[in-house]
Amino acid sequence: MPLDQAFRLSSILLAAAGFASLTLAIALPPWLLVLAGGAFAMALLRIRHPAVISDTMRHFRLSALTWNIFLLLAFAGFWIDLLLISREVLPAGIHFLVLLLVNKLSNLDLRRDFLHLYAISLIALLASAALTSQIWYAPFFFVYLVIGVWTLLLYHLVHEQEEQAGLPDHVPPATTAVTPFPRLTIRFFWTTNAIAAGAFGVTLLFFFSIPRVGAGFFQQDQGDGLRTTGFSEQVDLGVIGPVKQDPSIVMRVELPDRVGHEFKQDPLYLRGVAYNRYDGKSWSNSLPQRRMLTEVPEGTFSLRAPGTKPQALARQLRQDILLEPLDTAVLFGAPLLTTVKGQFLSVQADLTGSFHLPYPLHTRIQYTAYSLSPQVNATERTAIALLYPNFILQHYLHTPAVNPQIVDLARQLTQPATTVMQAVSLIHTHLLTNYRYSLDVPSLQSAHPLEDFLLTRKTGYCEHYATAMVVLLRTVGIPARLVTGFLATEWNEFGGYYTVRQRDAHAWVEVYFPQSGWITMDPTPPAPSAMGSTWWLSATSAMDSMRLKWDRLFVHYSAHDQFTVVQGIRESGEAVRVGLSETMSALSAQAVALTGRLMTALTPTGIPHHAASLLLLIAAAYLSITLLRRCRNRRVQQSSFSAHQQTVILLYTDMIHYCARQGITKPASATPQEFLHKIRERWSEAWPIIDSVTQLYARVRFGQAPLTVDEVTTAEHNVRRLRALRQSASPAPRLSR
Amino acid sequence: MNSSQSIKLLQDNIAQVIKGKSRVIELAVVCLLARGHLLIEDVPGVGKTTLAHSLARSLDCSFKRIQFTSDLLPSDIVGISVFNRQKQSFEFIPGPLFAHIVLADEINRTTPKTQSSLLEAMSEAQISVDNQTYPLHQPFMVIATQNPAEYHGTFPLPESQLDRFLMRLRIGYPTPDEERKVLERPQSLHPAGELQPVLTAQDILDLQALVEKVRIEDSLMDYLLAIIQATRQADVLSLGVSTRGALALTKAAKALALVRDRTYCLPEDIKELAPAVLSHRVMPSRAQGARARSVEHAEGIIHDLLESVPVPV
Repeated sequence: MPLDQAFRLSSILLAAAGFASLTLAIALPPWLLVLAGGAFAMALLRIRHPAVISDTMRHFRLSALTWNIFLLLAFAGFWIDLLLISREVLPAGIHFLVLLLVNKLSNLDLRRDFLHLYAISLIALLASAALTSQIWYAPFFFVYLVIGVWTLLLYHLVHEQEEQAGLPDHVPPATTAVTPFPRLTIRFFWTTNAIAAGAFGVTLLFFFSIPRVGAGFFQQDQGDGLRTTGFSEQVDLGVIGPVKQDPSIVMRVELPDRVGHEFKQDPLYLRGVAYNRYDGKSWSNSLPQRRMLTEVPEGTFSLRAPGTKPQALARQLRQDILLEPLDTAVLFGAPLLTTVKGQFLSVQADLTGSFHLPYPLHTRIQYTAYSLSPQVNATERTAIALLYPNFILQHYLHTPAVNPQIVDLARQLTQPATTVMQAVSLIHTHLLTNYRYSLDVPSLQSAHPLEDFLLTRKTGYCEHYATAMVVLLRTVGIPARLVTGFLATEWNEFGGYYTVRQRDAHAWVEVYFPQSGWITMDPTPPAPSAMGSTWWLSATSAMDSMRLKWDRLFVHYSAHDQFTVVQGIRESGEAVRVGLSETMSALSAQAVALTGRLMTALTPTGIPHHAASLLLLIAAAYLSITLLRRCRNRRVQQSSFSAHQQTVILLYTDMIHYCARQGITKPASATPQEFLHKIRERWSEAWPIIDSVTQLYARVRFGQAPLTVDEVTTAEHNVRRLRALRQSASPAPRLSR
Repeated sequence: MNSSQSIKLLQDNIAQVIKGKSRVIELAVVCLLARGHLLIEDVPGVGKTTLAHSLARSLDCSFKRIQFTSDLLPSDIVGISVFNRQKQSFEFIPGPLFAHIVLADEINRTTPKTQSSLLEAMSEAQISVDNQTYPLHQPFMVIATQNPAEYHGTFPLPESQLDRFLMRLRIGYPTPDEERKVLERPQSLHPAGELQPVLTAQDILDLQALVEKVRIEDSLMDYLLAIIQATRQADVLSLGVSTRGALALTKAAKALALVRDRTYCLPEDIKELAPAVLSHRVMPSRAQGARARSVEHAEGIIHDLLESVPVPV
């Protein structure tokens, strides 16, 4: 098969592969199928019998103007489709795409038409990928790939051949080795196919064998993730202290619902695990029973009592959390978590309101948490005594055998209190004001760390404060528990998120009020912050935010995200459609009302209603035809040059520039003919080419003659041939003027 | 027979007599088609009269020749009213101007009075005698010749009257080969005597109507106007081209486009014609001395000006 035919064939097959995948992905209307099928058949016939078809089709051949009108109509049809018929962006867009395809198939003349065709077929393939996830897509994709390889190969070959075509004309026949017109042999065909298939196979091999970058294959091996402390089943008092110097990043938290600057100074508590039992040296959870959370809808895990509806998420605090690999399975969130959304298999919750994954994940995970932070309500704020449920009394009032001095201290502190709330705040204030914050406390070695803190050293850090508060509260009969987690204080201005590090590990207290629930209280005075220099800080936070973006947009870009994008397009298209149709219906309602009023005014008695409407219709048609005609006249006057004519003029100026580069300039005052004479004298090889282009240019530029597509193609071809010619090849010396 | 064929035929017919002067013949035909008048200015004996003759003989229309002398009177060319005794009234006897093609030989030999009567007829295409107006024949073309070598006893045409001629041509000496062909012709016959007419007067009128339909693209019109403007601003010229001159160039360019079988003008048409159409309408400044009056000098100035005006691309 001749190269040129093969090239055209493979181009059309490429488009056909894209189109076929579309037809399987979405049900196209029959007329569109017939139209596209006809266009494909026509294009294929034109390859085999170019002369016959062009002869028979000459009479039916539509002008460029007709095609432009066709495209405009198609575009208008797209909007009608979007608003009234299919009412969705994707199908309407696909219908429009098929019409574009028909247009290009019927006008495959210039090189750029082929490029447009490839683009359209690629979009078709992508659109069908967005619409389906079924297995039949795979063979189409494979076929598309193979034909794609072919088409690009042939495109290149044909291009090269055309580039060289200009040369042999001017070489004396004696020295020209007669090269056979290149043809496609069977052997070449199969070899190339085999190479393409082989490349595809190797790619598949890589695809399945090399792990995703998102899995962190090339990242530093972190073993079981970052070692954390304070979230295991049992926590010794004083374990948090050593990690308070560790700057490794644990997570990044965005608060997408909160914008502005005022909140960023507020520290954000990220609750991990709660403990209810203290044995004098360490904390543990006596309620380790966990239950699986139901997943409704997919990917959303909500904590709720059986039979109740999940609370509305709208009024809750939303946090988007990117959690680094940790050695714990705890899911963090602001107190108190109600819902977690993420790509998890399952999520468990224990009785203290902590969320756990079944096992620690060794990859970065991303999830969205929703929290409701309870406040003490008015009645409980002023209550003298509170009636606690048995379950609470049983699990949250236990104290180890503590030193009587501590009991005394508790009684003494709460002596002036008249309400429960007052007692709580008295203890809270006492701890906040009378103790010194320091990390330099050897708690782990001490036999009685709490007594040390409360009575003797009066120095400690968050764990000591929190433990002390819980014990003091329980001593006076108020249920409380210790909570560990992180206190986020580092706000990244560039990315708009909190950076949470190991050293932000924290422990605080939750106090129980029967109606209000568990209230977060923090008896620890703010630690003296040890900040570095500000520019260094901002530089690192800028770097960090860039890293986060990279992570989000590239490493963790998943099918889910693609789905979100498609969903977003669909939703916005829907919004546009709804908005437009509302406007339209409002307008049409007004129009109907107006015509109705006109009708009643115009039809006094005898004239039947429909006669009047017929008259109106005729008047409207007449008006629109007149307007159309006027518009058309104006357009003809305005645009003196068509696109083809512009092309020829551009080609001519292009040629002039090329000649100037070759050393033959056209003076501004020289006419095209004079320049041609100059060329004839100094570059005789190029003369025939430049002559033909110049004649065409003169006819178009000054005669404004209509052009045929062939003429434009020939001119383009000629200019390409000219580029293949080199002035250096000719012996003509530069004349000095 | 379409327009290009008939024009070709006319040119070929003239070329049988005037050897090797295809450009001069082309310009003469352009002048005819543009409804213009032609001034041929050259030394004696290079074929000025023969050109006029052969053009006239190639057309199937009337031809008159007037030899201008210093004693020629306006009535000699326009005609005169004579009293007819039988009818008891004045009768107008038309002069030689009542012909399609008039050869005014050595026009600068006659007095300004006679010259101006001819020029009036040229621009109005009609003449007035005794309050009576007589239209001239259509097509009407005056081919005037003048001899630049002998200024003795001549009345050079003033610029305002030169303006009436569409173009001024020089014929120039033929090349030796062409001259040999002229010499080898039988000398007994008048060179133009054997020519057969190839076009009728009506053909010429039709062609003249076609010239009107030739289009000039807007940017070309700008180019033409830029050339006219350049003559008015040039230092070497004391008088630039008038609006009539611009009109003449437009008409001539259209005619040349038709002669070259086009329905639209090209920059070449304008640029090629500009020396012939404009050079006699400008006045080189006095500072340039004696040669200021020569034809070659004026044409050279126009050539130089053309090189300063950019051609639209």
